[in-house]
Parts: sequence; structure tokens; C-alpha cells
Amino acid sequence: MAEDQQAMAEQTRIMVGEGDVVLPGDVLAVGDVDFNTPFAYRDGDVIRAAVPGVVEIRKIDRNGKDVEKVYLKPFDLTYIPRPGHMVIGMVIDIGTTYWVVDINSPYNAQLPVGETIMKHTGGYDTLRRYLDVGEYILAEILSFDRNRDPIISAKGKNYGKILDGKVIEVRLSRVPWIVGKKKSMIEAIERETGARIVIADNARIWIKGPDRRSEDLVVLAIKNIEQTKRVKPPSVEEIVDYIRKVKEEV
Amino acid sequence: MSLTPSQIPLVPKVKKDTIISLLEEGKRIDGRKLDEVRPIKIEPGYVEKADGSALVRLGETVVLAGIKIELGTPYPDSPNEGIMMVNAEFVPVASPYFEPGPPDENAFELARVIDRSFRETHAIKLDELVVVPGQKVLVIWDDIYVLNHAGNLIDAGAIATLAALATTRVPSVDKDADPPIIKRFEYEKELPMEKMVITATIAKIGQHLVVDPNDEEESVADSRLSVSFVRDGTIAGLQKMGEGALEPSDVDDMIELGWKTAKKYFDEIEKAVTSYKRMLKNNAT
Amino acid sequence: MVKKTDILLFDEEKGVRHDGRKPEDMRPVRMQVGVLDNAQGSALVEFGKTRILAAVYGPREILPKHMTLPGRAILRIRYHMAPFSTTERKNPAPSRREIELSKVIREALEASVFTRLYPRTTIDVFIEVLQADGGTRTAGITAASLALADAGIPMRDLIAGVAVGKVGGRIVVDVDEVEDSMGEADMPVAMMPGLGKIVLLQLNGSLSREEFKQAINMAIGAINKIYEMQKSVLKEKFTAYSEAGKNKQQQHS
Repeated sequence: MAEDQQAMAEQTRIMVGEGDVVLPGDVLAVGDVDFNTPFAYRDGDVIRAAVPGVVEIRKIDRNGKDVEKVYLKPFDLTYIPRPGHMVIGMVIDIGTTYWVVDINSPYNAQLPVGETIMKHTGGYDTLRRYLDVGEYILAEILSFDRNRDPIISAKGKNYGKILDGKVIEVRLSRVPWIVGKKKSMIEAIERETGARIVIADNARIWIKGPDRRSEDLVVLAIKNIEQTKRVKPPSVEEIVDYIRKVKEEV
Repeated sequence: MSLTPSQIPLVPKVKKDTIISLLEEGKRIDGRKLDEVRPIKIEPGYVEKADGSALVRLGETVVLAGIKIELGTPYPDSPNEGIMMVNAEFVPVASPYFEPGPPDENAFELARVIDRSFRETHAIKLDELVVVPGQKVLVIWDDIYVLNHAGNLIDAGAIATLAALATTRVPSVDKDADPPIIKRFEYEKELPMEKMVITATIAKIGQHLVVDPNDEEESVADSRLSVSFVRDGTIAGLQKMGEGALEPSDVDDMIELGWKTAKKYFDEIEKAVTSYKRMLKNNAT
Repeated sequence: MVKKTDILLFDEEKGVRHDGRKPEDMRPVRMQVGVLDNAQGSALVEFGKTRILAAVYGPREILPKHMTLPGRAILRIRYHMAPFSTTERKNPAPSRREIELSKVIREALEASVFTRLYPRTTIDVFIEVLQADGGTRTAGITAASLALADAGIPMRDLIAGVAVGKVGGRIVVDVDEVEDSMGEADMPVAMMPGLGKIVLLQLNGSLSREEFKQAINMAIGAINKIYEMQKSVLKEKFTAYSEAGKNKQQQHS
């Protein structure tokens, strides 16, 4: 047994380095190495990439021991809902007791009347007056699993119909950059523009500024971060400089 | 457009496990050995109105091939050759999963696999089927009817096709008529054949290779390889099917197993064709 | 139309094919990814004059719902030839051939894509043959696999394909239309090269066992080259980034 473990440890090695760009089928590691599914997978003794992405080597604690984990950051992601996520949805259909809501995912969500602040149900027309096709709503994923479409709720505090401001959609894989470390990026943008920014988990962003110009500034700043063509995000200073430059130009 | 089938019979995982654990002991769910084909019964001349036909039972799978010969226009790139056309119909009587309507992708695939094996090997002497050079030729229609689907339709269809073609007679043509017409049920000669061609299908289930898979085995197989052969052992076509992948060494093994199986099919067809022809001769005298 | 007698399929004296290639030579191969803005992933692949566009949409909702599967995404694959892609205009309605090729390509992609990650959805792959000059299904699956990778859909490996054949008595790689229509055999092969597994294999024509072995080995050799090209075009797309990133890191340190 001990020999087996030793043999395993000898065979265990990570074949890629921090910042490497890898593609489906590429070998990331051999042996007993931690990795993140579904972006990497195990094929016998070998761990391979399943999507194009960038490698990050993370130190993790496993049974009291520091070990390295291969973490693959994909270039592209599909949004899969999870209970508790905050999402910005767009109404695409109306039933008699619920709305069908697009949440930027392969799965459309249902918003039942009972999960809104609407008191009475009066059928299609009443629902439509409250929330029409094409309108945005800020809501929370109540439930979702492999067998049932997501149910969302707009009852909680801060949730409900989005009445003003702008909603934009960005690449899901770029959301962490837009938020920044400990929200540093988003707070800097809010400071520079005076706008309030809500980043939902489904890669939609609600921007509410004192005026249209400040909202446009936020959009430009976010698009600038999203479109940065490198592995590391731009720094907060770079984006602040960018916003100030655009302000001067206008 | 091809879609992942959603109407397929659901195979309980238990059944797949059972099939595989049996295979590990060298046995199959219907008691056969891995390289054993189901009992074959071939009845040539099953449809009198056809110019050639054969009913084939491969275990519980039943397939009927009927050959009808018509007059037609040659292809522009081969003006002095007759034409062979293969068509397959998976009629609703054959399975609860077959629906009425135009042929689906599986029927097209079956027809095209068999068609290619005969066409590419020039199995039929098409140059002997010309009526008016460049204008009128004979068209050999091979219609394959699946009557009961219990797996391995390609092999059953190929056996039925070869047995039917080998017993097909070419009707006389009234060349003086304008346009020329076929004299129905007046026969001139046997269909001129250059080569005998058959197709044998091997399924890969887990790590095991089995010949002549039945429907249960097909539903759990990772992939299948149909290999067509000429009587001398030349490979006359390949078709990989199923959602799995094959190692190159699997393919070599499947070709060898396929050839072993193909020889059995050839033997059975030759027996049935010989006795049918003897019977015709006896009836004539 | 070219007459059969006009073309010397294999010149024994010079050891070359009708277009001057040696038996093991591929035509010039070109690949691009991310060529269509609307699709989640897309690719353009050319083998000589054969030119294929592939686009991926999904995973997305599919209606009617009864077409979905509870435990996995379904794949919907359409291999289609544009009417102007061939010498004679091709009727745009799907032919028996296109239906069959859509099926074998779908089954090949099923072997690679992790469909279980997206239950009750569809992943659509559309393959349009813009110009056909032999090897369209293998160039098509090469393009489809690039488009799926471009879309970020998890898969076991890229798929690369090539058609080998027997032409004028010789086993040759990457058959073009002339060789396909006049040669003795055409054998399309596609693999997950990193895993060494065959996902598509067809043969139209006759080969001896020895010839088959030679043909499959030639195909594997060519497929590995195509695989490297696929990787380099994907890397190029994704890492104008990486290089910029690395340089930046160096500046900081």
C-alpha cells in the first residue's frame, strides 16, 4: 500500500505552467492531481483540458498538506444558473400565472406571480401591465436542477423590475475582471462616474447613473475591460486613466 | 440535419452491465459465442412479381429484398452502362420505433452502404444492360424492406440483396416499340454478375467485439463497423457507426472478424441460391 | 467535364499525382476561427479548393421540448452543400448523401463532446460546403471541431480528419475531386488525435488488407499534421493575449 502511494506520488506531476494557454485534449497533469471540472477531465491516469483556457496553478490544502491544483480558466463560459444567484432577466413570454424570463442561459426561467410583490392575479393582462415582454427584472434563482427549468423570485429586497438606467451583457469569463479584486475595479468605476453598478451572476450589468453621460462612461469602461486581449486584467489605475481621458475628450 | 435520437428505446443501465459482465465470461445475452452469427434462413424468389427477391431471417430480424428492373436514361458520365439503385424502407410493422413517413437517416445509411459495396466493386456487369446506347438502359431497383427489427439490419439487408440479385432474371425488352418497353415476366437471361459482395457488421461493447449484434446489443454498443467484402477477401467498403470511438487496433480486429463472418454469409447464400436454381430447373422440365 | 482518359492519375515516372503532389502530400490547408460574429463558435477550413464554413449555436433551448433528453444535450448536425459549390448546381434540398454524412459526422462529434453537462438543451453545428473539391466531410468535421472549441464547449479532444484513397494503383493522402471520382477507393478518416482514437471511418471502393493498413497509417500521419494546425490557429486566436500577458508580467517583475 505504502509502495503504491509512493509510486503514485512519483508518477504524479503537473505538465503545464502558470499562464499557459491550453486546448481540448492537451495533457495538464499525470496522476493524482486536483483539477476543476468540467473544464478539465480525467482520462485514465491523465488529466486533460476540455476547453481552451489559461492555466493557473493554485495552492490548496488537502488533508493538511499543501498541494498544487491545476485550475483551468476558460476563455468562454455558458451561464448555468444556481440557487442563490442574482440574475438580470428579460421577459420573453407571459402566461396566466407566470412570466417566462431569458436569463442569458440555455435554460429559460419562470417567474411565478407569487414570487413578485403583485398582490392579486388577474390573468395575462394584469401580468402584462406589471411586467411586459422585453422588460428587465432583477431577481434571484430560487431553484434549478438538471430536470427542471429555473424558478426565480423578485420578492426580496432590492429585487424587482428595472425601471431606469442601462442593462448590458458581457462575456461571463470576463466578469471577475470587471468586478476586480475585492470589488476594487467596480468601486473605482462608480467613484469616477457617480453611477451605481449592479453586476448580476449571469453576466448582465445594470448601470444607473445621475445622467446618461455617466452611464455611457460606465459602458465604455466595462467594454474596455472586457475587450482587453491579454491573460491578466488591466489595472484599476489603467481604467481610471481611461475614464478620465474619455471625460476630457467629450 | 442529424439529431441525437430521442426516440430510442431506453436501455436500463442494469441491462448494459449484464451484457458486459456476460461478455467478460465469453457469453452473450442470447447464449451465442462472441463470433457466432444467429441462424440464417434465406428464401429466394419470395415475391413472384419481382424480377428477383429474397426473404432473409437473421435470428429474429426479417428483411425482404425485391428487385425490379425498369427502363431508364443512363447517367451522362456513363452513357453505356445500366444503373443500380438501392432503397431501404424501415416500415412501421418492423418496430415500435419506426414511424410512417420518408426514410430516416438510418434507412439512407443502410441503403447507401449496400449500394456503395456493389457499385464501387462493379459487382453487376452494367455494360451488359444497355438497350439503346446512350439513350436507354436497364435500371436495377433494389428495394430493401425491413419487416422485423431485431438488430443488424445492414447484414440482413446485404444478405437479402445478394441473394435476390443472384437469382434475378433480366426481362426481355421490345426494342421495336417506340419507345422500347419491357415485356413483363418474359425473361431473357440471368442478371450478369461479375462479383459477389457482402457486408458484415461487428459491434464493440465495452472492450469486447461481437459479430451480428442483436437489437439489445446494438442499443448498448459504443460503436459498430460494417465491413463489405468481395468473395476473394478484398475490402469493398467500411462504415463506422455509433457514438463511440475505435482504436486503430480495434479496426484491424473488426476487419478480421468481419471476414470470418462474411465467409459464413457467402456460404449460406450460395447454398440457398443453388438449391433455388435447381428447383427452378426441375420445375421447368 | 474532364474525360477519364485526359488525366494521368499517377505518373509512375515522376512519382507524382495529377496535380503534381507526391502520394503523402496534402493540399495547402488553411484554417481560421471566430469568423462569424453571431455564432458562439465558428471556423473556416480549406483543403486546396475545398472550402468549408462551420458554425456552432448553443447549448440552447430546443422546442418542441419532447426532442430533448433528460440527462444530456442533444447534438443537431447539418452537413449541407451550397448549390453553387459543385460543378453542376446542387439542388439545395437535402440529398441522401447529405443526410448520411450528417449522421456520421454527428456520431463522430458525439464521441468527443461532453453532452451530459447541458441536459435538455441542444448544441447545433452547421457545416456549409462553400466549394467542394473532394474531402468535404473530413474538412467539415475538422471545421466543426474548431468551431466547437471556439465556442468553449467542453470536449475530450479536437477532431481532425482527412480522406485517403487509392488512385492509379497508389495509396495517396487528401484526395481531391478528380481522384475521388476516378480513383479506385476513397477512405475518409477522422480521429481524436491526442487520444489516438478513430471517430469516423468510411470506405468507398476496394482495398486489399495490406492497402488498408497502408492507407490508415497514411491517414494517421496526415491527421496529426492537421491537428497541429488546428491547435496553432486556436492558440493564435486565444493568445495574442497570452504573449501580451507574459510580457506585461515580465515588465512588472
